[in-house]
Amino acid sequence: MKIQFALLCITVFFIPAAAQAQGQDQKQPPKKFVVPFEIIKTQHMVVNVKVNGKGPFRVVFDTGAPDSLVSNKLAKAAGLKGKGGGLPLFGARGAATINSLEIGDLKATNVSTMIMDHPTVNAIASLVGPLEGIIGFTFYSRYKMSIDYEKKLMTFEPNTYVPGDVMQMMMKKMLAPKSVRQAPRILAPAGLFGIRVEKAKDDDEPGVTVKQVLADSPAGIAGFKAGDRLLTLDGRWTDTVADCYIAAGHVRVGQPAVAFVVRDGKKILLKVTARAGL
Amino acid sequence: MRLRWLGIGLVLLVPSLAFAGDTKKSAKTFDAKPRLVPFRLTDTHHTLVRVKINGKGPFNFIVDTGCPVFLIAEPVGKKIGLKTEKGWAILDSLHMEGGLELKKVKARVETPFQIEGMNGMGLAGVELHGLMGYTVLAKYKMHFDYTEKQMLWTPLRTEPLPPVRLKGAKAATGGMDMMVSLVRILTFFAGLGPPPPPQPRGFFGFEMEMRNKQVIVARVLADSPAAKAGLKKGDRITNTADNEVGSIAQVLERASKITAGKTLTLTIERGKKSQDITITADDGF
Repeated sequence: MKIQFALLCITVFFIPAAAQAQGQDQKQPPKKFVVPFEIIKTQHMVVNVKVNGKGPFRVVFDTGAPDSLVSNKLAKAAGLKGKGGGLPLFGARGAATINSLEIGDLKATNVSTMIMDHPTVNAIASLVGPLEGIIGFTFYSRYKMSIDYEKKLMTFEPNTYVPGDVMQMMMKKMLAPKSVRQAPRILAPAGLFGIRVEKAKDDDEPGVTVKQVLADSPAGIAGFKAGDRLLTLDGRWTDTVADCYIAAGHVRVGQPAVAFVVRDGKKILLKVTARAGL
Repeated sequence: MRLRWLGIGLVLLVPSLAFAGDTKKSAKTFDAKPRLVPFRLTDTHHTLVRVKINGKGPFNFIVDTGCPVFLIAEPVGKKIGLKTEKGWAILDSLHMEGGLELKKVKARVETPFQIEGMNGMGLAGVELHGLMGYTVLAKYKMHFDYTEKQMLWTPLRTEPLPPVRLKGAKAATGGMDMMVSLVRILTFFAGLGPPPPPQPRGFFGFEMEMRNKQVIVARVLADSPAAKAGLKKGDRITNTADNEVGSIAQVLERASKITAGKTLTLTIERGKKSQDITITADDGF
């Protein structure tokens, strides 16, 4: 029998569903919560959760899932009602908001979820016992999170991140006019460096070549020189011109970022601090 | 922010040292140094990291605890020239952006419908090449924080369990295969497709600062487009493209889609005089 590993990957794939409410966390004490997890024999992470005070339920913890997901059984037990919409597949009842989601001592409020009997979750459950859903990005992105596979412990500490409504963004994207959808993404640097880079079409080597460095610019002050081969910027590979802009888009203005260049056959570390500008 | 990461890194180094010498074989080569792993969030809210496989790439992978294996999409496997046996390949080297490296990694070469679907519809905003699942992730203690631009991964000594073959996994296909045709139909009717390649924003060559709640030109780089257009240090930027300006972020936002060759018009005050300055963006950053 051919085992379809791809199908065991439960990365949630969207079919655009109804718009979904994204709640705000109530004020959490700045505390670190330690939560044990289990690695089941399919090598997925499983945690116990309480939903609206009901449970515990076993659910899969999935960093590949942009949304959380609960089974119809769990939804019924926890009094969750879907807002409908979406495709009537796998018992989908659309989006819902969980008032309280407890994992260990951690209690999150207003966690958006989908109600759906995910066939892959069911398939895994048929091997390891009941599983009633998936905890995804809508929950874990609100925390500084660590996953320790050795100790089988996770830690959560509230951060200020607001996950936003990915389903609505997807809807908007798919319904946008073709001219909007097909417009290329523009990669905007976070700050000003003062550097030009280039790469020839037939150049397959790592890095890009520095074409010009402007005097008194952050790149000039950092010691970049025309002819340098830029390998990484702020820990990111710069193998294409677009890569450089992506890296420059992720730096923090005013904070030094490490860059590696090759000059005369030697690898050199440079520290460059992008400034507020463009 | 960076400093706090380093702090965590130092603390984590200690228990690892205490374990040194557990096994002679790994003690020589084991590097427990935590590394920053740069990531990006896709439009679909997946955590994307980049890898080089056997020196080729970079390729875009999703950090996915919901996937039991390191999974490479078939076209990517072909591109790298991976030899597979019953869908499995051994990667000589797996480099992760940020510096982590693994040798002899077992990988599954197969195209999951999720990847096919997202790439076909261009949903993620970037082409995806595979999923980084348990067999690789479980080699690390991972710190995530979506208010940061990097994760921190610390190598663990414990080896992940090898991939297992499961009896009865046939049930996993129950209904999911229909998703593939569904996605194809949707893609066809909605006229969706992979996104065009991204383009860099243009370069202008001036710095800004806030002074008395006004956006002031802090510096104009010599020979830059801004210098050529006549922008000067000390100019107060009051408007961009007829919209009032109240912050540096606003100027950056309004200029964020202007590519090389296109123009940005700033209304500035110099002394008591107000004037428009039109800067033609060049390439650079």
